[in-house]
Amino acid sequence: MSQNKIGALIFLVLSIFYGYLASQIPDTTGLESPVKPATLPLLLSISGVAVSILILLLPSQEVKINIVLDRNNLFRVVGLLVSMVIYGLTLSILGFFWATVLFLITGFWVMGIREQKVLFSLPVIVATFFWLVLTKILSIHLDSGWISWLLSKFSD
Amino acid sequence: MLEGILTGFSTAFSITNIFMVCAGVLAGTLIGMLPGLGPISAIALMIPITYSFDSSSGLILMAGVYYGAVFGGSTSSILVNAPGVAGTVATTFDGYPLAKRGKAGKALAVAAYASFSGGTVGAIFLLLGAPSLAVISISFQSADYFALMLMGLLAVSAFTPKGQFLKSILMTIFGLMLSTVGTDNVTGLQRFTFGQLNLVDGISFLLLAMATFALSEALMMALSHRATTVSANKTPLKPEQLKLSIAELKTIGPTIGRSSILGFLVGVLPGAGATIASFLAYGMEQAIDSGSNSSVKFGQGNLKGLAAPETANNAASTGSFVPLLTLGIPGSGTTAIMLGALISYGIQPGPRLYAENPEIFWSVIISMYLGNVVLLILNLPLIPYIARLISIPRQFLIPLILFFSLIGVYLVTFNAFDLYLMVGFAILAAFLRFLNYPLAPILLGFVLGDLLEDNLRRALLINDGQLSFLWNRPITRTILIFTFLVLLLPLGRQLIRHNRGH
Repeated sequence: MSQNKIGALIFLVLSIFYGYLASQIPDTTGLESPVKPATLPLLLSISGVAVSILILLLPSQEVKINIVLDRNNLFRVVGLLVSMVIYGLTLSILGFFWATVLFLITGFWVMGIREQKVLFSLPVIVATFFWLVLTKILSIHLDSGWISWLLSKFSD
Repeated sequence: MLEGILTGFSTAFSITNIFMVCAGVLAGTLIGMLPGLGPISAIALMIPITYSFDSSSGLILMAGVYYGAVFGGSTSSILVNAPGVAGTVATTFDGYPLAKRGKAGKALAVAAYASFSGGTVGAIFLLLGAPSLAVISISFQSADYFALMLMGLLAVSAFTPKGQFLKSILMTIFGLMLSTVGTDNVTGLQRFTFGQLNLVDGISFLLLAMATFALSEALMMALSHRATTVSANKTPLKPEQLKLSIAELKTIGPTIGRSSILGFLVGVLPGAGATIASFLAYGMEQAIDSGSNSSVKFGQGNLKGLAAPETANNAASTGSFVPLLTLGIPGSGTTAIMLGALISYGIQPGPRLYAENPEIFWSVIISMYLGNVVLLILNLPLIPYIARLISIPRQFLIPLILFFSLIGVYLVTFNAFDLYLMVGFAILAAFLRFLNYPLAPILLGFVLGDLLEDNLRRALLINDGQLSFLWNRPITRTILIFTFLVLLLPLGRQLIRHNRGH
C-alpha cells in the first residue's frame, strides 16, 4: 500500500472513532437550540471520512522520500524520545537544573558524542546559563525538585 | 489614522523595544538558518520567552524574529543550498550558483537589499490598504466570517503542490478536530478529554506548533543523520564582500520593483503566500530576461534571478498580514502562528482591532517594518559571523533544539503532562512527514477551529438552524463563489497538464 493510502486509512479510522465519540456528547442545550455541542465535531467526522475515502479510491502519484531508514538512526530517534519522556518525569523529582543536565547528557550521548569533557561540561554550561537567565533576568520560579526539598528538610 | 500611526511609532521606537527588535532579528536569523527550522519554528520557540514582557514589546520581538527567520532561511539557501522553508526554495536557483562561484557575499547582499525593498513596498501597501479593508470588514456578519474561514482553510490546500490537495484538506480537518478537544465555550461541556483533567483547557497552540514543527523536524534530522556535517563553504566571508556596485543595483532595481508589487498582491490572497509569490516572480523575471543577452543565464547565478524571489517572498509575507490584521484570518502556517502569538498577548486581530485599538493595530505594522530595517543595518554586517552556525554538528544541535522546544512549553504551564503530549504529537508529525502529508494545515485548522465553530453557531442560531445563511447575504455568496473557484484551481491545473501531455 502506498504512503498516501496508509495515511488515508489511518485518518479514516480516526475520523470514524472521532465521530463515534462526537455522537456520545450529551446535548444540554435543549430541543429549541438548532446548534448542539456535537454539531461541528459530527460535520468534521463526516468530512474526514469522505476525504479519506477519496484519497483511498483515487489514483495517487507517490513522492519518493529521501530518508533511508538505518538501524542506528532509528535507535537514536527512540533514544531521544525516551529521554524526552524521562525529562518530563525528572523535572519534578530532580528540579530544572539537574533534569536538564541529565537530559542533555543523554541526548548528546544518544547522538554519538563520546568525548567525556564535552559530554559533561556542555550540559552543565547550558543548564547554568538557562537557569540564570530564567530565574535572575526573567524572574521565573523554577522547581528545584522534591529531592532538594527532602534534603533541605533533613538539614533542618 | 495619523494619531494611530504616531502612537505606533512612539511605542516601536522606545529604547527597550529597539533592543527587542534587534534581539529578535538576531535570534530569528540564528534559528531560521538551521536546516528545516523556518519562521514557524522560530516564532514558536520564542513565544514562551516573551510571556514575561508587555504585549507591545513581545510583538516587536516577534516581528524581529519573523523577519530574521525569513532572512536566515535565505542565508542557508545561498550558502549551503539548504532552504529552511519552501518560501526560499527559489532563492537557491541563482543564490547557490553565485556562492559556488565565490560570490556568496554579493548574493547575501542582493538577498538583504531585495528583502528590505520587498518589505518596504509591502509595508507601504499594507499601510494604505489595511485600513480600507478593515472599514469594509466591519459590515461582516457571522455567516460572512464562516464563509471567509472556509475559504482560508480550503485555499491553503488549493495552492499546495501537485498531489497534495486532498491530503492538505485532510490535515486541515485533523487540525479542526484537535481544536474541539477540551471544554466547549458555550455549553461548558467537556469534549474528547477522556476524563483527563489535563485536557479540560484543550490543547495549547504552542505545544502543537512546537511538536509538529520544531520537535518533529529535529527527529527527522536524527533519522536522516549522517556523521558528516553540512558542507558549508569553508572560506569565511568578509564584511567588505557584502557590497554591491551601482551597475549591479541598477540591474536589480526594476526586478525589485516588479516583484514587490506581484509579491504583495499574491500574499494578500489567502493560502497563496511567499512560496507561490517567489516562484511566480522568478518565472516572470525569467520570461522578461529571455529576450535579453545577459552574460549570466538564470539558474547559473543571475542577480535578477536571486533578487526576484527574495523581494517577492518578503512582500508576500507582509501582504499576508492584510487578511490577518483586518479580518483576523491567517492565510498560511506562518500567519497562523503569528495569530496564535497575538492571541496569547490578549490581542484578537480583526475589524474591531482597528476600530477599538488602533494603537495596537499600527504598532504591529510599524514593528513589522522596524524588523525589516534592523535586518538590513544590523544583520547584514554580522552575517559572516552568524553563518558559522551552519557548520555546528547536528549531534549537538538536535538535543539542544529538543531542549528549547520542551522547556518552552513547560515554562508556560509547568505541567509534565504537556511534555508527554508533545512527544506523542512529535511522533505523529514525524510519521506524517514520512508519509509526505503537509503539516502547516494542521496548525491553520487548529487556530481557526474555535472561531469557525463560534461563527457557525451564531449564523445557525440567527437562521433558526437553516443552512440558508450560506446564500442569504450577497457578501457570503460572493465569498463562497470565490471558494468554489479556488477549489477548481487544482482541477484546472490538472486539465492544463493533461492537455500539454497530449
